[in-house]
Amino acid sequence: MFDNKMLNAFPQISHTNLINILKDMPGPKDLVVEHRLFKPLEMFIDMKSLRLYGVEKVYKLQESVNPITNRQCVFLVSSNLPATKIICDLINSCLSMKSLAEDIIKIILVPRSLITIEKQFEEEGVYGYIQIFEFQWDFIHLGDSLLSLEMIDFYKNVFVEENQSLLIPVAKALWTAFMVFGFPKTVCVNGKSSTAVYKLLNRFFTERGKPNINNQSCFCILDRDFDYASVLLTPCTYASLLDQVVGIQNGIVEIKKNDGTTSIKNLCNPDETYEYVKYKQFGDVLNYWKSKSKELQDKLEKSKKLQLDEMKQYVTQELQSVLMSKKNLTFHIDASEVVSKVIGDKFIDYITLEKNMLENRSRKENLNCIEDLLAFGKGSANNILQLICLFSQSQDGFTTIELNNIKTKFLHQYGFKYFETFHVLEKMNLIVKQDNNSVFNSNLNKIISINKTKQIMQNMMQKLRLVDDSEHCMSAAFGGSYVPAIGKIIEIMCKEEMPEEEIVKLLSNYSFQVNDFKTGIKTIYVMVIGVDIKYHINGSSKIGNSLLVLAGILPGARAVNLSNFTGHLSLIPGDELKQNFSSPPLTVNELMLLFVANAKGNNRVQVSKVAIDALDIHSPYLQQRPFHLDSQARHRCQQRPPWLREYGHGQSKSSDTSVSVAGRPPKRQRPLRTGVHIKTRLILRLCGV
Amino acid sequence: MNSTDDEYWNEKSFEGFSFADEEKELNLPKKIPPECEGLQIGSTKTKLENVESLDKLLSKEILDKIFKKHDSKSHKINSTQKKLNFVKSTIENIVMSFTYTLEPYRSLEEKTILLKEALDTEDGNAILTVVIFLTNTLKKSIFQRILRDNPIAASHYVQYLYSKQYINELVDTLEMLGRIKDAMMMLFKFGCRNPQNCLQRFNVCVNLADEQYDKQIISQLIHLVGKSAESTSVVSLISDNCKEQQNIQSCRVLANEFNLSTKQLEATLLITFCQLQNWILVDDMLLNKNWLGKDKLALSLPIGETVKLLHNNGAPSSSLTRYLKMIKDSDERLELAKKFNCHHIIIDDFALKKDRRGLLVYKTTLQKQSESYYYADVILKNPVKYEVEKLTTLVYNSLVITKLITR
Repeated sequence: MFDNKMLNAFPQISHTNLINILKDMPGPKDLVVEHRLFKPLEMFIDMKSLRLYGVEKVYKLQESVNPITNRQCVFLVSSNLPATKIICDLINSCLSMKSLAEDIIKIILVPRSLITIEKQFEEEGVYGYIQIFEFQWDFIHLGDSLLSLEMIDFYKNVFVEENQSLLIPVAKALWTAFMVFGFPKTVCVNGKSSTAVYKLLNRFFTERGKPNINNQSCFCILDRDFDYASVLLTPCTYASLLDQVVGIQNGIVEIKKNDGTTSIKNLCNPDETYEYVKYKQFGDVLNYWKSKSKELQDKLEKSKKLQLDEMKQYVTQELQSVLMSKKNLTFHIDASEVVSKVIGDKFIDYITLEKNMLENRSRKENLNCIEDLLAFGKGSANNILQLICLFSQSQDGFTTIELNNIKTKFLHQYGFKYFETFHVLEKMNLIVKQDNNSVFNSNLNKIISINKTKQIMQNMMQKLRLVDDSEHCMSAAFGGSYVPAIGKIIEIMCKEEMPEEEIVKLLSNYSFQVNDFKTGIKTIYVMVIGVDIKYHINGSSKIGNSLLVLAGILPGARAVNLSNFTGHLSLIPGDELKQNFSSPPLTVNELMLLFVANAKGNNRVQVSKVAIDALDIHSPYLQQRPFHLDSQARHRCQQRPPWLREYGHGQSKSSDTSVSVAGRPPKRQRPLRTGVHIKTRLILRLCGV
Repeated sequence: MNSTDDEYWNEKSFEGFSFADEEKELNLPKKIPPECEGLQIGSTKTKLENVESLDKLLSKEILDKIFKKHDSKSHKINSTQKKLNFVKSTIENIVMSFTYTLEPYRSLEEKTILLKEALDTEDGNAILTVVIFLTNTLKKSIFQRILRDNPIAASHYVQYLYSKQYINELVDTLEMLGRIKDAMMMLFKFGCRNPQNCLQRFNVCVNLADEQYDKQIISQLIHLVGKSAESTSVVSLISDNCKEQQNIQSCRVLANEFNLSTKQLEATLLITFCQLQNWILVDDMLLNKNWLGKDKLALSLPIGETVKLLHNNGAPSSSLTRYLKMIKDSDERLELAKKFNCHHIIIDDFALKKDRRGLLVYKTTLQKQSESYYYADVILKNPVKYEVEKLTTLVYNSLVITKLITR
């Protein structure tokens, strides 16, 4: 049973963790904070509490101002080399003038210290003058049941550069979350990074402690690449467009107004206007502003005609809230203006084109349409790249000629520096070539797997009915043209229209590793690793609007979403959402909604593809792969935490498993399984892993 | 080869210079019988026999100090299980941010286990920590072999080199791993930061590229950099050129050098002319006189978008009307005319459909005394003239055609 009150635990845990570090540095001190950390810090700590623990001045980290004095100086920076290089330079410039007092430089690295950073301190000769601390904040509650863990450059690091250093912080935040919520008995894992995070999570369970076990709840962790389409599509709701155009970071939006001033708002603060509109279609929202401002106008008018005694009551009770609403409304109207200005004139073009692509028709015209948008400069380079990726995902990839054609045009338009971007997109399988030249590589398997890969998205769309279902409430996020795949999967898991084995079979088809699946799920925690992919569409980023969208769609549903951090320049991390169906008849709507947000984007397709391929070729038994035979034991060891076994769940599980295994000829399965294994590896290798 | 063979081949059959001579001389000392060495050692031994023994010379205490056993330097753990446990706990410490030291792991076997365990944790920092340790303590060829065998370790190392901007080492490593295309792209990426100074790098890229298409793109970039220092893309180059020279033909020539698509060329020119507010050049570009001397639209861009672009940039209504008139599809024409308030076209459409009432209603929406208001008036009063006008054009056209044919 999920209790919303639990969500309040997170900011307090983050707060206490930071305070505990400050307590380790007694005495007065100055705090130097990297610029991009200010906003997330504000979510759980304020100046007053910092003062209480000896912080006298707070500076922004910059090369030009040297904050080091004789007092303790605490640097709070994210673990990236440019930021720590500044610290080294500051220390060295101090040393060149005078000697530094002992033990005054403390460095708090967010989210953790890394070997590269320590090595840099060593190489720069400052290691002896500093003391390193590690701090990471936990999930930040973004409203509804959405929790977010935004980390700078997460997608770029983990997915593009395949650097797994940021997985531990994710696992650690999850560990804290499950210590708070209790750990679900059922676990579904999909994707390379998710598997790694799950493994690390179990390490934390062993090292740091085990949470309580929750029955009737489920933890579902997926990589962003499971459904890339939802990241590539243009969203239609207010919150998601706001995110797409302006950017929402840890719930904070910053808009630049016409007069050059900026206006900042924290969307997590109570704001009934925003609550009402966030998941509404953007067009409807514009109309709503009209009626809302009229209503406010009336209220203010009315106040002018009040008698003296009424006036007193009005001022003390209502005025504050009316003024607050006015302020909020002004902000949202400004924001809507910015959004319309940026995408207003091309919105319809994009939506129409995207719909055609999803429905996989008029291939030539779609390409032609992209070329027109490109030539007229309608949309940024990123917008166009998104369209190109979506085309590849939904229309079975490009032929070499088509790809070279559009690529040349793109490079001519936006500059040759994007040449490398295309290479990355191809490596990430966001752009797929149909007639792969690897024919010359004489590796037959390779060719087969590539051809299979490219069909996966259409395949999934048809099987899960993602496209032609505008009635589905989750499709509202995309104006009815697409139902986010992650949402749909969760719906299937919770809706109980299918028998248990069918669901497990379906999940396995999409390469989920399923542990202990039972219908009757009351709470589901969904974590998506790497929510935003906008990064590689060139370095600029946007926040996982999915998070927001999703929660929004289900007014009233008590959903929790734990999600990752989004950074400034490139974002992304994972998010998890949890939903509580405990409130009596759990409507399907509620369930699905959660997911909309999360379901934005994915690329994990290749592995799932493999499973399906194998299945087509050989036998249906493969679908049950994770549950098979001798692998059972191994699986249980690998996938479920050892401590779970201690709790005795392992026992009951094995009987379930044997049911699904019953009747299968053991002899055939083994070779088949290895076949799949090899193929997976091959595909992974092809993808540059 | 046995010794007799040796003798045979070493035997001099003729006098003359031979390397073998020198060799023979050099080999001489080796031929000293082994007994000699034994003799020498033996003599030392006899010396030792004739002196007082050590324990008589020195106290036991001193002797103990002199002969104290030292731990062997190549300290070895023999049990594999023990080794594994040591490694495991070291890795655990790295993952959990406790203190650790990697120095004790000196044998290649231990290093390999260390890497394997680090990879197994799935923690990038632990993997990189071990990889950096390996690169510092192993010779290059062994380190590279390990990277080739462990792609995940390799990708962490590559990312490390990238973050430190060790570009040459990075490119070499990628090539060594057989990731030629990645190496090429990496060089390219670095080059793009400062294209003017990186022509050398781009030339290397051309050589590394194995696809014709890639070579072509990089050559185009080199060509672009040669043309202009400021332009970041072909389109901006054309646009700059257009602003400077205001000459469509010279832009066409330039575009051809890069094989820029017609659409992009047209759109770029249009947008630039709009910025310059030069509507005459727009006419020059869009309208071709056909062989009848009549205007013809020469455009591969969608006309709707084009007119919209002109409209948004404040092009005069008369030119919009002119372009719209050239749209063959009457529905599309009417729709666009309505969108951009080209009243003449709308009025013509009413006339064409003989919808007098509709036109009357429409006239009321027009601004009085405006040009379009008068035009509506004229058409209402004199529909025949309108028809006649159309007819005359038609007749004229057919006359010309007949003339041409007869000629």
